[in-house]
Amino acid sequence: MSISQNVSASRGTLLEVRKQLQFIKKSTEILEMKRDKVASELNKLLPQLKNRVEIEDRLQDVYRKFVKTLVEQGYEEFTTSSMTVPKVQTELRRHLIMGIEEYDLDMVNPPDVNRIPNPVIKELAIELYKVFMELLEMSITENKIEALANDLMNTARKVNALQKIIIPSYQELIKYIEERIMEEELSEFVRTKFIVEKGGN
Amino acid sequence: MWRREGIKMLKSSTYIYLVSRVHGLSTRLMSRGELESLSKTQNFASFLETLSGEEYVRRLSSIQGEEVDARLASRVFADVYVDRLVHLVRITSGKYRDFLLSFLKRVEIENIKRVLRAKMGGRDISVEVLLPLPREFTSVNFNDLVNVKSLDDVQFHLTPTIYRGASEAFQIAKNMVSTYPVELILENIYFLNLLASASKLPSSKKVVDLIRNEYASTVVFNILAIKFLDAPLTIFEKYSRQISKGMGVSSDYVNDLLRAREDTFSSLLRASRFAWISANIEDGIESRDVAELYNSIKRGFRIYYESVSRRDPLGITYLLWYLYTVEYEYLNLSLIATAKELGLKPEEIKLY
Repeated sequence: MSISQNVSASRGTLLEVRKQLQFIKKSTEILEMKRDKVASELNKLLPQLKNRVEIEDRLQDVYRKFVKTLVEQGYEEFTTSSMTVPKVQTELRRHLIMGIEEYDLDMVNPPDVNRIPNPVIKELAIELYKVFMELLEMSITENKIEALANDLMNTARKVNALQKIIIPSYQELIKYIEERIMEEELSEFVRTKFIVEKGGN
Repeated sequence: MWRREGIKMLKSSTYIYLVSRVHGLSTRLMSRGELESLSKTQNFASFLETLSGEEYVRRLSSIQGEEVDARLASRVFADVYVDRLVHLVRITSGKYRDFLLSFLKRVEIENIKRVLRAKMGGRDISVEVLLPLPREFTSVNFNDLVNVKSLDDVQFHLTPTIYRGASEAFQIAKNMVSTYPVELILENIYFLNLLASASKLPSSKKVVDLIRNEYASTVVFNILAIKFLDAPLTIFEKYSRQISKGMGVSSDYVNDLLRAREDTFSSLLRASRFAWISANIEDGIESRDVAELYNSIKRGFRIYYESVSRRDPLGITYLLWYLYTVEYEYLNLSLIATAKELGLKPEEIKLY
């Protein structure tokens, strides 16, 4: 289906369509810039994904240590030691950057593991909290990567559509309107000339 | 000389009765081999089936309407542990009873610690979480204590008891937002009280020495653990006099331990009466692992008290051997039950 259908070929329309094309080209440029920025941001973040394996390994080590300590110290010692630490409070904040949805996690009330009186459990809690925070940061990064990748895909699709479909069709429309105007001007010229010549006789 | 030895040989009837009963009661204890075979069972269910002690089986089979898990089993083991200690107090009298009552205070200390921790975190706690010590053997009313609101209220409840000396530590605990200082001082009070009772016993030297060694092992663990965690040793510096009293050493020695670098710590112990501890802390110091340090000291103390007490089966140290073995049996059974429930392999289970 051509964009030129149902378009009146007037000078006003031509001006309007040219303005629209200029706007579309500028938007395409902006989208291209956004695409490049998102791509470079993604490139920066992607190497961090490698750390997940290491963090997971460390988490497994700490988990094994946790099981061992739980066995050796007993449920009651663990439960009562954990009672000294107030409940953790977190806040998930959503924000948009260049239309990309990102999440940040704020520790409103971080677990104060230094309160734990049993040194064995305290040592484990410090280690576990450290790995947990790294895993949390990794999850935030992964979430960011996912959002950026989705946005990159959408932006690239939009840029492609604009460059390969919309802009050429607008250019085609402008050409069509120009040709129509030219034709109309030519016929008008011929008609005028004919009337002038006839009137002269 | 001969006369003195003759007098020494004469033991009171209470003593003879107590040692005989302890020998009788010790037959109910599980041997190391039995505990090891329990640790080799397939899973938690087969652990329960293999568990042979009459006291345990009776209690576990009487549980109705609830599925027995490791936590519940540990409570049963705790019941038996406390019952065994209480039983011994009930069957004896005089200085020995006072000594056993002082020993029993370790259960009370454990319960106070649990309440303290809950109150520090602003959590609720019930008496079911505490070790089941009959009211007649406690100087603290735990039914009231669990319902108090704050740490100040706990301090108020402890003021009329032997733990009144911990009041300053409560202030430090509030500033540090940790119950650790109070727990340390309560432990110190417990050991000083126990040592005072032990010193009144006839031929008390070995008993006092064994208790001092137990206290020294907890002090050494705590000092090194704090060093490993890079936390300040201020609380130890403040209470070095009381600590030294408990260990039976000079304050200077305790201060030397506090100031000692980790690599010179062992040599300081090696030159003292606590030489056995030095051999048990070397791996922990090398790895700077608090859990490893705890386990090796705990295991080391078992070997130490067994070697000391077994030398004299008719001496008073045999009574201490029984008391410690009862405690180790409780700890080991709870350890095996939890390990089995969590699916640990037999080779991963290391008994105390």
